[in-house]
Amino acid sequence: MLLNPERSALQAKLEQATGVNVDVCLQCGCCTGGCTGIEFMDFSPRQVIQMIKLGHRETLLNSSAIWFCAACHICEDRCPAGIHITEVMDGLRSMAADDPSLPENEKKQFHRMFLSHIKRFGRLHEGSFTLAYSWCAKMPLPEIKLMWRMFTKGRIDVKLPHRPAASFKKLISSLRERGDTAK
Amino acid sequence: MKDISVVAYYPGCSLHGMSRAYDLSCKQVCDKIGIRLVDIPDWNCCGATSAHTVDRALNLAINVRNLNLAGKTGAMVMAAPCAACYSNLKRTAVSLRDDAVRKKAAELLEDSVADIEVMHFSELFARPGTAAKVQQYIQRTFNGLKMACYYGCLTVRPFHTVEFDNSENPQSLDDLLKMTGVDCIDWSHKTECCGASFAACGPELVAAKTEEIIGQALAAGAEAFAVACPLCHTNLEMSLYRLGRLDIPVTFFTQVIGLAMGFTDKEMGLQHLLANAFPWKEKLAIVS
Repeated sequence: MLLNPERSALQAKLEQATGVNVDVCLQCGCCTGGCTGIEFMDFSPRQVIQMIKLGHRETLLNSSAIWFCAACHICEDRCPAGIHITEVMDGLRSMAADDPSLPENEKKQFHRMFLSHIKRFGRLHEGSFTLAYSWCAKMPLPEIKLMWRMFTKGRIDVKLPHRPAASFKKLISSLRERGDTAK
Repeated sequence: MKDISVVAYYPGCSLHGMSRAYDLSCKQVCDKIGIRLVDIPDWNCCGATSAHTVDRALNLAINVRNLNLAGKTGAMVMAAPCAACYSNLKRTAVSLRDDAVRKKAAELLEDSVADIEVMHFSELFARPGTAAKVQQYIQRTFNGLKMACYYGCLTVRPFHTVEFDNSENPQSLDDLLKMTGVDCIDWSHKTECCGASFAACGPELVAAKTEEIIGQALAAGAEAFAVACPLCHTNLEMSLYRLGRLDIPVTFFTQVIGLAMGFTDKEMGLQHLLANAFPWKEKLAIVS
């Protein structure tokens, strides 16, 4: 199959955001061969790259492929053309997360809640975050017996969340003012 | 090679929660071999998977802040025990080699950007000088204990950023644990990803991956795991619990080294492990 040498709008936008040029992809499939999330993806990483070139924006932003990528970097490590595929996936996910017209999913919700927790407390407070996320996203918690066992093993942090210094709060508020991160 | 007698210590969020045994063992082992770990005041979360996944500017800002705070301690090297923290910090440090990124980082931070080398603890210990020190302090060795060294994804990948060990068949942990007499098995899933944060938002993925990893390690004859990441640790343990196989302990590699150095099970935090059956009493022998 011959591709139109002109870049799709999607490819140009991704390249601008991430600096990654997918033109050099030779469609070998090494990325797909090692992929962690492949069993749960509707499109393989190799297909994702091709679809970027073809400009299938809506299909990609609605795919399970971008959300089941575990960012384990195996594709990137094995890519003979040296394409930073994880960054391309990050670029697609950022686009999907920033587009309010797209449907919600539990992974998007996880990232959003995680980042708002971090922006507030500076560090992750595992216990309270896990409870809040499971409740909001209706995701299952580990069974009570296991959680109790973890507690008795001293694995659950019972201290209050961290309180970040003023310099951290200032960094976050200046990012927000510039529109670089969500309010 | 940069001086590693003083290292800025970036524990990461999990080491204050689920993985305090890793925190304990890293600190004690470093103390023994003469690496001084200095705390980084008010370090913040590295953003884990979420920041680089959906918020590039935030990812750069919070990681550069950590690098800067670490630089201000005066150390030349910053070390992280968690693979995800390490990866975010290292990838940010590497990206700063680009002047445009460095400029953007300085703007976000309103400060100049510190140059500090980022290392994972496996790299810190595998350095020739440090490894020799570890060897020097080994007081007792394990006898007939087969362990699977499980590196996971981000301690060794992507190689263009990590620039250490081998991303397909890494040996750094194997070499370290062999010094303690452990029989490190050769197996195929050393660097498979465990699914990490999908434990919360995609548990079916984590179940599939961890069951495959555990199955392969057991088939290769492993009696226990040694890991170098809190996420790998928790995901493997939870999976072993679901499989009813808590007879297979998942340890941090630093705990195994520490036990061989003569630290007690309490000092190495074995009581925090879900499977509390690590055969350190039966299989450790004093080096004559």
